[in-house]
Amino acid sequence: MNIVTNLYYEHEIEDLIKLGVDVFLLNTDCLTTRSTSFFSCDDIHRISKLIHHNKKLVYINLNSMIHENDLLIVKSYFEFLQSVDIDGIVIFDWSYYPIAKNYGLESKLIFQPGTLTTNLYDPWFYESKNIKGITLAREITLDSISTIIQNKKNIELSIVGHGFQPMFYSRRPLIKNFLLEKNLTEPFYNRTDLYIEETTRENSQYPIFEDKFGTHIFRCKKLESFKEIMYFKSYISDFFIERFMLSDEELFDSLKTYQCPSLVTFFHEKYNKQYDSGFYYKQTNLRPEVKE
Amino acid sequence: MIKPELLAPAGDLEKLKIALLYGADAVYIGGTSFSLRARASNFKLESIAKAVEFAHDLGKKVYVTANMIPHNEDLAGLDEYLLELEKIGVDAIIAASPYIIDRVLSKTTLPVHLSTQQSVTNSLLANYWFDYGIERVVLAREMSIEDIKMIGDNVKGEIEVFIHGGMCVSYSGRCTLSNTMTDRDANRGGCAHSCRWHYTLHSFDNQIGQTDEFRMSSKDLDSIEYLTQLMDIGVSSLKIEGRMKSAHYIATIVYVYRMMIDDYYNREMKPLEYYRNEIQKAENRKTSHGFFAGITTPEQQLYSDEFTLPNQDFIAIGLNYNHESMIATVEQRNNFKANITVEIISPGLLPFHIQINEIWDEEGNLLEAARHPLQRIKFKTPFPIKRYDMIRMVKS
Repeated sequence: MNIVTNLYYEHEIEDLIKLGVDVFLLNTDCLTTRSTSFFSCDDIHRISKLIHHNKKLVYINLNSMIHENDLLIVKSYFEFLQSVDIDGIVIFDWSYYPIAKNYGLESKLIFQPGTLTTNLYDPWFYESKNIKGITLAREITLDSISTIIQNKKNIELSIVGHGFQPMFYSRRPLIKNFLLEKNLTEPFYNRTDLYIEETTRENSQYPIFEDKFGTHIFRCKKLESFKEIMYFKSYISDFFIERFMLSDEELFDSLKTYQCPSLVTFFHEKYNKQYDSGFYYKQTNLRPEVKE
Repeated sequence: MIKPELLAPAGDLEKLKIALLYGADAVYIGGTSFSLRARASNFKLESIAKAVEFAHDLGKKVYVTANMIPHNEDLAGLDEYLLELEKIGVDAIIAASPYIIDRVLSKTTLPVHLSTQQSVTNSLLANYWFDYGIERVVLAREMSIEDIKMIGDNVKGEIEVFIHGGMCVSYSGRCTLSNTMTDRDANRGGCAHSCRWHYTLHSFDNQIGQTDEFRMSSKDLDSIEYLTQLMDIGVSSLKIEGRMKSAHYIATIVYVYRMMIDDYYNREMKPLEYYRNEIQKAENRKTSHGFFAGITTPEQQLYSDEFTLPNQDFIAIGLNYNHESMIATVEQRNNFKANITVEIISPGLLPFHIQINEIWDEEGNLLEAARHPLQRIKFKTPFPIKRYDMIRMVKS
């Protein structure tokens, strides 16, 4: 199983490799949302060579939704991707698939929609598209993950197992509109220190982030999989650590802890109650009246 | 110009009949399985059969939503359910999950309409799904008129566009706010509408704005300004949202859009203000044009809890009319007194006003007011009142 995380700075490649990173996820300067660190095409050319020189892998992060106006940009970006030696392309929107297919790059795609990949049939469906892999939905239980894993065919399965979990992606500029409505002049673009709070509920402080693609909201607690990773190791191809809004120190501590399970207690003490197990053990049931 | 289909929601059999009688060309309904909108009163198979019979007798269509994103435990029973729907003769299945899509395509001859839960936002993806065997793609709601036009110019199949009703704030199918905050799975019919709650915006250092002032909630969509453009583009189906809305709401919204589509087709458009005013007679949420003009501004958001009350009160629904005695019988839906002016909307007619002087119960007792829900009330009028006519009290 590969440990995958975002690369923010070229100079940290070797340090991250020492901490166990196998795959570097590179954010693009035109088709990546939910990030504050991006690489140009020239950067990607250079950095991917560097990473391969270190015998590690390179994935490209295309996690924005594609509208009609974006199609030309996406096509030209895939022309660029044809010229680079990369190992995977992580996509959020299935629109990338027909474009990738036109450029013969579909076998590098990892479909990571966040939701949608929720049952044991999904790997079979996406396997038939000859893509590299799919990332399982964030809102399914460990039992469901296990069932899917046991029934999978010839397609790689991955998990986003650590870090802030996005739970909402809107095309609306929700912070900008709010500030305009209230005549407030606060800066808002690409800020990672903003959160919204639902005052009637405990533990309801949700990070919120706005960029040119829209607005994102995240779960209040970060996800960790220190216990579950032992199970994933045998069956999961890629274990993603979502770096967005983690400090460098927290990322490094996280990587060290996955390398060395004896550090789990130290990690929990240091990041006092900021983490939980997401939906691994939490069923989000249908309302009872739906079932006959 | 080809007239687009007007597609309406139906939460139960009565609303389905009303939607079709008021001018919808097709309705979409949820079965008790595999559908979103858990709190809408979903249809069992025998009700679906009745719905299909009623619609087909009018030369209209019924689509069944099976648009949940199923987890492993939800997969069982789908084939049997789909085969039953095929036997009943429904006209299409609205689906989002590859599992459900593939089962419909492989096990039945039913057409599949791709649900907006798949958030299709461009022609390339729409065409991918058409090539896959999908008959119609319901576009994401995050599209401007220019986007829709470009897609319309480039697709090889039918496209469907939402024209009226509630809007998800997130891209549909990609939101787990409800799952996280309430343990209710939005993509399996349990959405708690957490995006409509009140929040406070903070930075790490300070609160921004007042407590509970931050809102994400969207005004409902309305397309009065854009409907003719959507027709010019050649959109195949114009969809009204709201399987949980009242019969009066459904009747009014369908009635207005039916009138507008026909008026434009017949080159007899009335001023837009006329249609807008008709909608306001039933609309209880503020409305705006969503993404039709491009990226949303504060104008498309809801920042207060104020409801825009409908400018007329729905008081009764028509049951029958005795032409000899000129006595109408209606079913009470809200309190009303005698000696009032009411407005009637009736399929295919322009709204008209009548005066109700005296009202009686079924036993012929003279009443001061109709106070009991669903009570049958009689009154005299020279204008025939038909089954499902909507009767509203005219506010001064």
